Amino acid sequence: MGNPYAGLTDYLAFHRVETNYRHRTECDTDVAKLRAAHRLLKETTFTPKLPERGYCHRGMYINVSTLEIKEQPVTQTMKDIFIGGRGFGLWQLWHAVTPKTRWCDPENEIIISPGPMSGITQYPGSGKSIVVTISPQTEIPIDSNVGGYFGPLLKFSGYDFLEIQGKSEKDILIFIDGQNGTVSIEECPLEPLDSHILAELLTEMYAENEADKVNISVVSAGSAADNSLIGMLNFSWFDKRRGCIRLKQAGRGGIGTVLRNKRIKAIVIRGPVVKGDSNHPADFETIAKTGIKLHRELRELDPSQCVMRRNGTAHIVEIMDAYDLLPVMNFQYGSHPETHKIASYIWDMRCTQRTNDGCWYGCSMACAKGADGLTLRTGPYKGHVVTVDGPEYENVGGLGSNAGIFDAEAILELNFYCDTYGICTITWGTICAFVMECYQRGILNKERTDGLELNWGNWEADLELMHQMAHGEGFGRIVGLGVHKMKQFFADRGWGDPALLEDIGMENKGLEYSQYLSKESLAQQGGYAMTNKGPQHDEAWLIFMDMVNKQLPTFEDKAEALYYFPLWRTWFGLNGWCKLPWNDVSPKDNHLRHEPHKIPEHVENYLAMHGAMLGTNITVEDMLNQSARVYNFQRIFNIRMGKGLRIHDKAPYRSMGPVSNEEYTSREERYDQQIIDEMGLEPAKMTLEEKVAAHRAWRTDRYEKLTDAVYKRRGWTPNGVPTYERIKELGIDFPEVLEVVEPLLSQT
Amino acid sequence: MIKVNDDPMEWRDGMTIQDILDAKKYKFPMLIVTLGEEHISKEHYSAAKVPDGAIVKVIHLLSGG
Ligand code: SF4
Repeated sequence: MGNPYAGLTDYLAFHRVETNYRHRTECDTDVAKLRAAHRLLKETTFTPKLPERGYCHRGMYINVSTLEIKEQPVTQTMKDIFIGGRGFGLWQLWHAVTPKTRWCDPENEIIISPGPMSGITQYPGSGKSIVVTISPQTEIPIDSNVGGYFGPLLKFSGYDFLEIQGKSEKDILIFIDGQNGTVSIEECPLEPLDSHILAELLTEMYAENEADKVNISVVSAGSAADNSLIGMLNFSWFDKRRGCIRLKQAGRGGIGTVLRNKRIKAIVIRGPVVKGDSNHPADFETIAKTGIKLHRELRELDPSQCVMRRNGTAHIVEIMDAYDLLPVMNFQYGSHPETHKIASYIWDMRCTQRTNDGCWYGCSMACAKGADGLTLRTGPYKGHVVTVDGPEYENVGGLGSNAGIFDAEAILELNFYCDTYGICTITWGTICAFVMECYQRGILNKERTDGLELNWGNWEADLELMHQMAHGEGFGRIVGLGVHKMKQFFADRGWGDPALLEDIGMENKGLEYSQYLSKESLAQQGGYAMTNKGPQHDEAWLIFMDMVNKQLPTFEDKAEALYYFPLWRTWFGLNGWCKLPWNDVSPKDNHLRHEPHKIPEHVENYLAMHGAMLGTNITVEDMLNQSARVYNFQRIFNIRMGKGLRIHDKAPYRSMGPVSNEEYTSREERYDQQIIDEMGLEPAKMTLEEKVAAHRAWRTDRYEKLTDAVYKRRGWTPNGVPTYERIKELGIDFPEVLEVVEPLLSQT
Repeated sequence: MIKVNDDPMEWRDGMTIQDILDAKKYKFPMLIVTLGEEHISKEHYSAAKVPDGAIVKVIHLLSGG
């Protein structure tokens, strides 16, 4: 047992034809000429400092309309209630906007905040930041978790967060020099937008020499962010061995679109040289000891567990297929006979091995793989040889199987263009899957798509659509609105039945679903749609527990899981941790522990490190309460912005059950059995349509019952509003918070 | 008849844990398998014989994302 492709992987690795991982098309732009065209709009100085026990006790505020640059205090209340990361981002954003603020208003902010643990170099996965803004897609706060060096370098320059407000009239960049203590806002008319070039040029421009490049990190979007609502942010780091920049993404919710709407091309940081104890923890020894334990565990166990160090998260492609969970053709099906063409052994071969693929220092899980030597076949960079970051599982599922594409090189090219154009791969995957199904069902045709034949598997049309969107042309402009707005756009023109569009458009709150099939797991349906920001799996991934292990038989069991896991996962975003080292490797004796699925030893590691950093001592209960404060605050923030109620937690039926007869037939045995066992009916006496309808009634009803149970467990009213008691108990009963819930609670 | 994660499964003579995992297509590498009260480690999947009427649990740890 173990990795099903393990033997094959070894064989292929032996026969691997190594690509030269330093070979790529060099950018020949004259950096000096670009810089000479910069016009300094504002420069100010600050005193760089290192954090003490994880905090610098100040944030940096920059207004790109007024050019104001100032320090923001980090108060004890902020630390106690909001911890850092996503908590700080939401708190700052709350005070910046009003219920009327739209994503494109100057008041909207982008806040980048690494948590108090961010920047540890001893424990794998400790370099994350969280980015928060009002999303163009959902019109509520979005939080997106991202690696790369920017967050830790910001912290080691002396800031717990960076808060950007306003809108510039011209294209600008912000440069924060944490070595010399200067911040500048510069007009930058000539730099190209696409991230793989822009980050490379700016790293070259702002590093003093070759050795200094590792101290530079660039936040940028790409040309698609100018022409769509789904633009994302790239965070760079310099890969010394490859001699090029690499990119990690804050993908979800269109934050790149907000950046470009502010006319910011890039935010560049030059941090100090990172040292092992730059965070100045209270107890360095415990952090070092805990880190060594996990490094050893990874080295010994990863090869027989998830093989993250070779394949990254793409190790689960064939596993998801085997469990009928891989999204195929807009989440209609869960597996496909051609999955072997995009399975992990392909990525094992295609990605360069034995390189340093950690997206922050000290991450021995090193899952940020790179596929080198890809010669592009389309678009503005046709013929260029490039390095592609990833692909991660979500990219293979989203850009591949969900669009019926089982061609590894095509997936790599889609992945490359998503990154450089600044497009979220998950969002693009679900959007494309939706339009391809619309094409399949005749809702779209060649006339409506400006000539594009959007058939399943047509990767050339997929790429062409992406190039169109990036450049604001053709049907690409429509697609860049996202699934939610497209449904309305199609319905307004009489294209297709609006009810069918609602069923197959995989979005909730305006955000597209990520790439897992939730139809057969009720808990996961809640894990997707009962989230704060929209259906991203980073709150709760419960499919195995629910569907395979049968550990959650009752609504209350599912509700308990939908209480614990979203809070546990929120805690990563408060502190600056990556979730992967928590559960993509597990200790040898994990099976002996109570609740082994929570990986108790790793939970203990995190609590120990939290204590060692801050000099405090917290329990699991304390941890859950820390998260619950921010989680409930975010729910109330959603309500303040016009969402966050029960109606907004509704899920599209495709995520809950079979929409079409073909979907039903593909799992007929399972569905017929459920009609007998769960509904007490006789499928043999029913037509296919009657069976599909019976399932819809049963599944929809179960979802409502789950919603009741989850809200009760979370301390919310049946309408999804946190109760006075819960708000008070959590200590977030600030007057402005109570003011939001008051009208709703007085109705109940 | 045996039960695997609460679902009934046809039993046959000589059946091993590995046979169950193969039949169920349980390919995930991080599993905790118990046969009755006994934990079965990965090295013993092929040797561990499953008696008729056995209760087998195959707990998949979480992953993904
Ligand atoms: S596990 Fe992967 S994504 Fe997480 S910090 Fe390490 S390299 Fe980055």
